[in-house]
Amino acid sequence: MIADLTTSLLIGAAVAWTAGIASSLLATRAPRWHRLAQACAVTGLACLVAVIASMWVSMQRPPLRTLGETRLWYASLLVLIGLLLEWRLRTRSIRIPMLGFGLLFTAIALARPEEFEHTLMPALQSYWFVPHVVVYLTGYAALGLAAGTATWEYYLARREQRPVQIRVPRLLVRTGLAALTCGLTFGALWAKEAWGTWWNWDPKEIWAFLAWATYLVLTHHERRLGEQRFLLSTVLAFAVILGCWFLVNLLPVAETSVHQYAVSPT
Amino acid sequence: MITTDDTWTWRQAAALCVAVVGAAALAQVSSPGTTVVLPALPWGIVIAAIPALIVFVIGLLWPRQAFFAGLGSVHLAACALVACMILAIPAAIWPQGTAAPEALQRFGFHQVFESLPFAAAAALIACNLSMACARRLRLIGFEPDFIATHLGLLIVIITAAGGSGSFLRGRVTLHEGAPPNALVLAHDGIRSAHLSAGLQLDDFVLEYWEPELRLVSGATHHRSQRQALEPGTKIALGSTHIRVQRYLSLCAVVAGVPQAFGQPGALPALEVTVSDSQGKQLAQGWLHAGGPFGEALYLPCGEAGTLVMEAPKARRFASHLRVHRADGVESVVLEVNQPLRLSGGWWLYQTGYDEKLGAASRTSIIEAVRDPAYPGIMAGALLLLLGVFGGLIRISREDQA
Repeated sequence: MIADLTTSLLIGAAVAWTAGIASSLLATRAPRWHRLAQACAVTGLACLVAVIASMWVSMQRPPLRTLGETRLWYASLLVLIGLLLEWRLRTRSIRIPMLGFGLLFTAIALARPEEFEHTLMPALQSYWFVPHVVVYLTGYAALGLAAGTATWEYYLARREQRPVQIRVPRLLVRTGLAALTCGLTFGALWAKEAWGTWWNWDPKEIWAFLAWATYLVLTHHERRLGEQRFLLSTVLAFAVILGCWFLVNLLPVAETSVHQYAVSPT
Repeated sequence: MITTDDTWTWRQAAALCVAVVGAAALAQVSSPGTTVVLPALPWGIVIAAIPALIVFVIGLLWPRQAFFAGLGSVHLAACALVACMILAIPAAIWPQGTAAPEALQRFGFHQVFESLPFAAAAALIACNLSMACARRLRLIGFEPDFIATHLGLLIVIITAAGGSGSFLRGRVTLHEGAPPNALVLAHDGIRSAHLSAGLQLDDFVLEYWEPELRLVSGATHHRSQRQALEPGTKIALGSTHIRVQRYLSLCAVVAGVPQAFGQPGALPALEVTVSDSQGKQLAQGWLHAGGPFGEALYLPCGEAGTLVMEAPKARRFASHLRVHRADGVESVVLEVNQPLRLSGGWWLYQTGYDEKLGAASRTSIIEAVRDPAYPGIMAGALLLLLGVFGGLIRISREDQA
């Protein structure tokens, strides 16, 4: 029954965000569609939040362990950050990338339903678990949205024959880097409490370092890069995040990782 | 806003990086077994901190001098970070240590994070952070978020490097009923130390999650919810209904039939009946995960799939210890994520047990750690976090402006 409810809500989110993308495209010609697009974004987000809440209740643990679970958080956080930014900056330029990314991750969750395990190993039963993973996913979401917004902005600027604007991607990259730094520090504090060492150069930690250093270099050089190259770099840098999140599990080094619980049991 | 564009070009920063890291890499290749080990405290911290302090003072005294400005430039920071990243890439793909590919071992890059080139790149970053802080303070004044993030990171690097010579991490293996043990054997297998108290294991406790049932049909899996498996319990997996008839918490499988067997390492077994949504019985029989005392028992349920029982997984494990200190004996419980502090700077961490015996384990594996750099690293990490939050507030204000 929980599985049926989860699937229905995921389909609801996917439909809402598809409608949101369609309305956003229509809104480029007729602004009255903006309200509908915004309502669709909020509806989809509410569906996904309900999925996460129902999983949390039914599994009696935070649904933050496997790749499938983190994908759901990612889609939700991405749209949440996008909506907050829309409200704060009074911009609509992030809506299509935000809904597009959200829809992509929801579609993956629907296409590859995961067999969710209810157990949580002792090492993960810590008050650091939720803040560490949620802050990291917030960073990933902000940086994914930055890459999406950069691509969309580049496309729009070329179509409209105007200079590119980097205000939104730049703010997202800075926010994402701040979240990565917090996630990294929380992880070190947790590792100290669980194993007695701050940092082990575990494969996941090496990739986390690579991702953090990539964005450090990018933010320190944004003024010198120029606007077009900054947009391109934002997209390329996101590949390192994807490496840290997904690719690391496929590499020869993965078997030595203590972060193996992040891999889906299926 | 201070910029460092006019001091060093990319080429100059890259040249310094290549010279320093390249020389260290050559030294590493010529002597592949070399690792960077600083002496124990206080000399370790002196060796790590004094150069950074000298760079800081120079930055305060001559902030506009071209070479020193270049040393604190963003260009050098980027080049040193890129050098660290390039060195880390092989370790991000292949295992390190003795499991590393032969090519990495031949050139001494199988312990890259303790290698000379990585230490050289880290030293460049430390110099750059120190100089950048000093120049910023002198030329612009106190910018809280900049100083907090950069100084926090510098403190973390210096104290981690400086304290590494005194850092000791080792294993204490305790057996129930054995006399107090205070010997720590370091992970390098060479060093050993004595704890400030003797440890005696009174009892080792392991609790399992309830075993989970899976109904497997082709690529489709259904997994049971977390619930107690008692006689009479009903479980729905997809459109299939399962009713528990009997539950043996510890058993051995003899000639395909589970029998109560309260020996170390024994696992539970479950007798169930399986029926479809119309109530028609599909199968009846025993389930067992398989282990040292018997093969796995699973239940084919026709088109509905095959019902299997997973081996129970550890939910919590803890050691009930008696700590023999100079001033008396104290009873404590040591658990994962809840370390215990001893005198003399020692911390104890519950890490493992005899996994073959599971809940019947009478052995507890404890990690003992002595980390004199703890306060420094913690202070640096907190400063870094404060700087990040401050930076977020500033970015938000700047953007609004």
